[in-house]
Amino acid sequence: MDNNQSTNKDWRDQLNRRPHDWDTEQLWVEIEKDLPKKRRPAVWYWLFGGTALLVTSLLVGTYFLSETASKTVSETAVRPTTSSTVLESTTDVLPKTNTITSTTKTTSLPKTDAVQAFVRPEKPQKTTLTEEHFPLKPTQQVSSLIINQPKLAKQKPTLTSTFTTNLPVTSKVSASKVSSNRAVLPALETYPITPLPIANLEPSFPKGKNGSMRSVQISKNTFSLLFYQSISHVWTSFELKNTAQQSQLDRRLATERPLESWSTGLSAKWQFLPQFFVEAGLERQQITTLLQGTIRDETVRTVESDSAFFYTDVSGLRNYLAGAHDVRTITTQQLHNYNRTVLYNLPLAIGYEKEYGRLAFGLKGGVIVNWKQRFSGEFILPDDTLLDNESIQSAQLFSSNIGMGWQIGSHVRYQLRPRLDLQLTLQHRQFLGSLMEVTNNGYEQNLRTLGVQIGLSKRFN
Amino acid sequence: MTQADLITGCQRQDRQCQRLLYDKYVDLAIGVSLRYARDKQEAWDIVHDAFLQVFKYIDNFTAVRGTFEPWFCKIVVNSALKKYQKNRLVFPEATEFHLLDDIVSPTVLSDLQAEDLLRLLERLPDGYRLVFNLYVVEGYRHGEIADLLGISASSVRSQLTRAKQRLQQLIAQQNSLEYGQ
Repeated sequence: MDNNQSTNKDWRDQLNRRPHDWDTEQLWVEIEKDLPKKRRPAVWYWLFGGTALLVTSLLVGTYFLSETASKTVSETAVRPTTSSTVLESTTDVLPKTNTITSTTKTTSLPKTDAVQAFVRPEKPQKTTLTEEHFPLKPTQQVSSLIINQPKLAKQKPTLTSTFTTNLPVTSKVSASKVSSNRAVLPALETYPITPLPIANLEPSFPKGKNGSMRSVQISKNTFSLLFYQSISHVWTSFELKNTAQQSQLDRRLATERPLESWSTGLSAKWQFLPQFFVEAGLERQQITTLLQGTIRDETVRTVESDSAFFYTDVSGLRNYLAGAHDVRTITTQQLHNYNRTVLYNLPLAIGYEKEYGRLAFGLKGGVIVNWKQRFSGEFILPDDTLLDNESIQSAQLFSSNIGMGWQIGSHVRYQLRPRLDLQLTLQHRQFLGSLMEVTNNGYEQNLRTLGVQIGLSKRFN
Repeated sequence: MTQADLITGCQRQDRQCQRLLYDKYVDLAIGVSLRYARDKQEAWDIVHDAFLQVFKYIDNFTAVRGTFEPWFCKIVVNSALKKYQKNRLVFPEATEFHLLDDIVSPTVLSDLQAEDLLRLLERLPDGYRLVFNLYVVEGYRHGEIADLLGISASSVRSQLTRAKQRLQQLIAQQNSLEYGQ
C-alpha cells in the first residue's frame, strides 16, 4: 500500500477533502436510526407463542370443564328438603274397555334420605287387558319418572302433566306438594315403540317452510379436511444482517416487479366448540422473490473509434499530434436477481366462526413453522424464463432451514352439500426469520405476503 | 476531547462521542466514497454503511496499530468494495486500446485539480475506476488489489494500464476542447 506514496499524497488529500453540498445532518439521522440497539426479537416469539398457548389451553379447558360439570350435576344425589306426601296417578286406557288401574300410595320420606328414596319400589299392577281390542301389550315395567326441572318444581303446590303417546293409552299424572328440586312422578307403562324406517340415512339439507334448503348447523367435535390452493402477493425487503441497514435501492427494486407466491396444502380443522376451532396443516409454498443485488440494464455493444487530435501539455511547452483507435466492449451486467424458493409450511391456527344459514364467516390467527429447502435456486430472467446456465450459482445459503412466521386471516365458507363446503380465505403472513442469508454480505431477506386461498372442505362428524 | 477519548467513548457506544467522531470524519468519508461511487446516492449509501461498520468494529481499533484516519479510510473503501461485490461487478473483457504514443507526461495528472480529476474518474468504467483508485490514490499494491477484488494480479495490471490510458485520453480530449475554445 506504499506505491507512489509521495506522488499521490497531494492528490489523495485534495480528493479526500474536497468540498461537498451534502446534508450531513440528515445522513447522521439515518445512521443513528440504524445504529445497533438491544435486540429483543425473542420477546415477540415468546409473547405470541405464549398467548396462543394460553388461549388454546383456556378454550380446551373450558370445554372439558363444561363436560365434567354437566355430568356431575346429573350424577349427584340431591338431598330432599321436604317430604313428598301425596302422589297420585290415574291412568285412563282408551278405548274404555281397557282399564289400567294404578294404586296410589302415600309415601313419607325422611328428610335425610338420598335420592334413591325417590325411586318407587315396583308394585304389582292391577291390569285388565283385552287382547282383541288392544293389540299392543304394555310392558309391566314400572318406573319412576324424575323431572329435573327446577322451574316445574317451583310451581307449587300441584303439578299436573299429561303425557300422550301415539298409542291408545293416555296417562294422567298429578303430583302435589312437590317442593324439592325434583318431582317424583308415579309409574308409567311404557310400550315398545317400533322405530319407523328411515328412508335415507345419508345427511341431506332439511327443507324449510317454503321448501328451500336450510343449512346444517355445525356442532362441536366436528372434524374437517380442507384442500386448498392459494396465490399471494409478496412484499420483500432486505436488511444488512450486520448493520441492520435497509438498502433503499433494494427496497425500490423489490417493488418494481410484482412478486407472487403459490401454495398448495391440506389442513385439518377441529371444531371443538360450535364456534371455535383449531387448525393445522401442511403446505408447499413456492415464492418467486428478489434474490439480492441490483438490476443493471446495460447492453452489450462494441464501440470502435478512430481519432486524431492535437494535444497540448498543460505546461504549454509541448504539442503532440495524437491518434487513437479505440475498440471498447461494454459488457452487460445482466444480473439474475429473481429466485424461486420452496418452503414447506406447517401452519397452526386458532379461530372463531359464526354461521348465518349456509354461509359462515370466520377469523383465525396463528403461527407458521417452515422448513426451507437448501438448494442453489433457479434464476429467473425478467421475461419469466429460467436461466439455463449451470455455471451461474445462486448465493442462496441458509444458516438455518427452520423458520417461523405468523398469520392472520378471515374466511367465508359456503355449504355446497351437508358435508362439503367451499371456503375462501384472505390471509396475511409475515415470516419472522430471514428467507435468505448470504454469509459474505450478511443479508437478511424479510417477506410478507397477502393472498387469497380457495379450497374445498369435507366434514366428518 | 482528544481523539483517544473520542474513540474510547465510541467503544462504550456513547452516542455523543459517536456524533463527534462523525462530525470530524464525515467530510473524509464523503471524499473517499465519491471517488468510488457512480452517483451521489451510491456514495451516500457507502458513507452510511461505513459509519455503521466503524461504530460496530471500533473495538478492534487500537492506537498501537496506527492512527485512526487510515483505518477509517480503509473501512470506507471496504464499504465501497462491498457495494461493488454486491452488484457483482463484471470487469470488462479484454479491449484493444492503442495509442500512437505515450502522449501524456506525468505532470499532467499532478497539475489537475481535484474536481477535474473526479469528473474524469466518474467517466471511467466501473472496473477501471476501482482499480485506478485503489492503486493510484489509495496506494495498494497489485497483489493486494487482486486479493480485494478476487481477480488475478495480471488482470489488475491490465485494468490499471487501460484505466490510465483511458484517463489520458479523457484528459487529452478535455484539453483539446479547452485549447479549441
